Amino acid sequence: MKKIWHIASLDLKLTVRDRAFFFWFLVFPMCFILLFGNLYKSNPSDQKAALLIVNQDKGKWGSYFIEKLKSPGIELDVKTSPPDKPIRMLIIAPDFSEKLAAKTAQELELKKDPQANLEAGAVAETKIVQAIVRLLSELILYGDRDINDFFTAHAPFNELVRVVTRLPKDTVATIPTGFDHVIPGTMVQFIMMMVLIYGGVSVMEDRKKGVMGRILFSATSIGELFGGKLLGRVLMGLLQAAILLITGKLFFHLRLGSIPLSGLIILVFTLAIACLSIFVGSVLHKEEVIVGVSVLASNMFAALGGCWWPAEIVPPTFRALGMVSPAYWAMDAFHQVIFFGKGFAAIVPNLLVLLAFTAVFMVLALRFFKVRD
Amino acid sequence: MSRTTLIIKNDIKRRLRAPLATILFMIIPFAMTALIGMIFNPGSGNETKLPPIKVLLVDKDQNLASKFLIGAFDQKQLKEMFQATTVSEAEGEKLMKKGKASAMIIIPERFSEDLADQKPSRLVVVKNPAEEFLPNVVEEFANTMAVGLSGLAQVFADELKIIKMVGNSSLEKLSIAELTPFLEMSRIKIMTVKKFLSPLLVGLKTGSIAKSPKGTNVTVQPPKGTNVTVQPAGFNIFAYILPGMLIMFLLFIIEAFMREIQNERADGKIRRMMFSPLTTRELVLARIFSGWLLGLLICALAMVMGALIFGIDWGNYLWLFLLVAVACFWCAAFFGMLNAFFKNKNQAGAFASPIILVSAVFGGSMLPLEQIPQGMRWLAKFTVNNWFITGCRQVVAGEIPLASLLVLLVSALLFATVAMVALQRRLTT
Repeated sequence: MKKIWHIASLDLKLTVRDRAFFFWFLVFPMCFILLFGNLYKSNPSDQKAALLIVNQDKGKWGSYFIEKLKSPGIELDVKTSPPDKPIRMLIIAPDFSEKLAAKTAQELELKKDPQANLEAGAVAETKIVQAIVRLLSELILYGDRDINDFFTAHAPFNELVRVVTRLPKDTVATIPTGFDHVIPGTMVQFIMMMVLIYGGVSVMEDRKKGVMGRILFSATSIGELFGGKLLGRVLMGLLQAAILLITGKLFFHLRLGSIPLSGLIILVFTLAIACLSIFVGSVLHKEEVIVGVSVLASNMFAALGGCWWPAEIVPPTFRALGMVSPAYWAMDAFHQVIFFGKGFAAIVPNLLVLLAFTAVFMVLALRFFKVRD
Repeated sequence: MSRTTLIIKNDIKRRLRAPLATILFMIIPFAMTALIGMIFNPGSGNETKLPPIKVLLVDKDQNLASKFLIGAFDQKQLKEMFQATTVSEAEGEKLMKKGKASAMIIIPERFSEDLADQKPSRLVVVKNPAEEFLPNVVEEFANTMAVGLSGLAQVFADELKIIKMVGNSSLEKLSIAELTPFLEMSRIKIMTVKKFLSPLLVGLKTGSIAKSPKGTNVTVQPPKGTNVTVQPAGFNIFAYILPGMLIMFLLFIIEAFMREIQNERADGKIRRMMFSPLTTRELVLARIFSGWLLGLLICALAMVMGALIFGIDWGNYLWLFLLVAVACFWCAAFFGMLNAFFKNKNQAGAFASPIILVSAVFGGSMLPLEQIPQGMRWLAKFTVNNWFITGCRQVVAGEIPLASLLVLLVSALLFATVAMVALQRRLTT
């Protein structure tokens, strides 16, 4: 066991000493976390849909409608002429008041850039519909009286029904932030990428340079050598996870649910990927090829497994396809623990599937593991 | 054949002799484009749709208003959007705890009565904490229903009171004579309402701001009655994703190629070459040109494959060729320059990959430029990814990518000049 630990710790030391270690294990994943965490702020109060209103109306009704539109979740910017590159704009026509006074049907025009944020666009559209309902209700209640007296004589719209939101009982207490969603995904992706690249390349280099062959000249068995290599890669994955979790806790107030359970998920997942990295490093002979295969595999697994985007927006076929990725099972287990506060029993199926992946990758790694080329 | 041409020929030949890594780095952008494109493909009619949203409905009211609200989910348009199931509160809580639905709407007891009495009431939306978007859609829908019900309750306040009274009384005690004035009042009210709602006094039409081939703004109208985003006609999601992926992996391929200078320096190959009548200037020029040519070949192949596999219409081929040529020149010149400052292969590898990846993250290769948070968007201007992606989009849209060409060409010339001077110095020391 001491020898296994010695080989593993040496591999880990070499990884940490690498010039690019700091970038790969901290800076690059942090770029991901910052970018996607800010993008997926799931709490609607955090993220307001921006709406530009081009109010060309010559009367009072345009401004009155804008008042009706004001509500939480929407950020209004009122202008009188359209800008060059609008993202989302509502156009109130010059004859808006005139037509309202004459009770002539008319349409407001909402223009959206199809490449802009879809969710924000949908929120803006909904808020406009709500404002129209408020305005029409007031007009109906006002009835056939003189429209010119409306602003002084009408009854204001009463929000009789309000919506309150909460989370399911006995789960989390506050709505998870974008970072709570993004950090586990980024962590899973980078465990895959780093263990596969660093782990795979070092297995290949140690074999090519004869390092493993020389180790076997000492009183180390091939089983211990394999065990050491495997443990070394597990430690790399755990180090990557620890760096991101600590950073997440310190800077983004990451909520992990039960820490022992989250740790267990990370351990089992890392074990599977460590076996895969030895297999990749054993069958491939060039650093560039190992990097390419690792980038391809980890990105595909991450995308299918729900590390990049919320799984709920993915079509059912691709969600089912995602089950071939170990990342899917790890992410699902994280969701159970972090968002639903579930215990060990709930994640047992996920852990078993991850162990099945480990077994398959382990068989492959053992079958192809070579000490010399 | 000039010495420079011979070196270029040899460089390309060498690369093609062991093409596995290059092929892999070409497969990755295609695989990623295919995966992302298929997941987010707008599909027929260019409509971007979300999968059906699972909603649980708990009706504790069991009266007129709750029936109205639940009935709304049976409308064709909403049926496509939501997959609603009516459950008891206990069952709903259990399902929500298992994450089996995006949200649960609880209609409280006495909801209809409170509306009739003009008393405030609350709809409760229980949101799935593991989901980021769909629960918010349900919340917004509930908000719209709440506004609608508030409006209806106020407009038909008198009628609701009568309905409540009728509901509370036995039929034996009611007479048609007593109800007639109320029926007449309702008739007048409905006629008034009709004036505002048929046709709708204030409606909303939505359209897309899309750029026409001439660069003018046009509006694309969605089919009536749909609540989906309609992309401009001819929108191809793959044409939107592939340029970003391509430039990212092109950077990797050219970087690996240019890094060979370090290997050749280390193993003495360059020193041996210098024994021939060859100047360092010719060598550096040839290497930058080889990198450019390799990039050009890869891009041409990738774009042909993009057209064949994903059906991408790349627009004007002359502008596309110019853009690709300038971008490849930029890549070769940039990595030529970087290698002049790196001491060895390991140092080059350690620094170049992070530069590529950070540039990909903030330049729009990993996330559409418009989706990058405002505060970080300025960083994109310093990346080749941004200019290449923007340029490609312009060419596809039938525009001339002048800004991209200009920025890339000027910066590439600058890098090439520095590379020529610094690399020559590095190779002779």
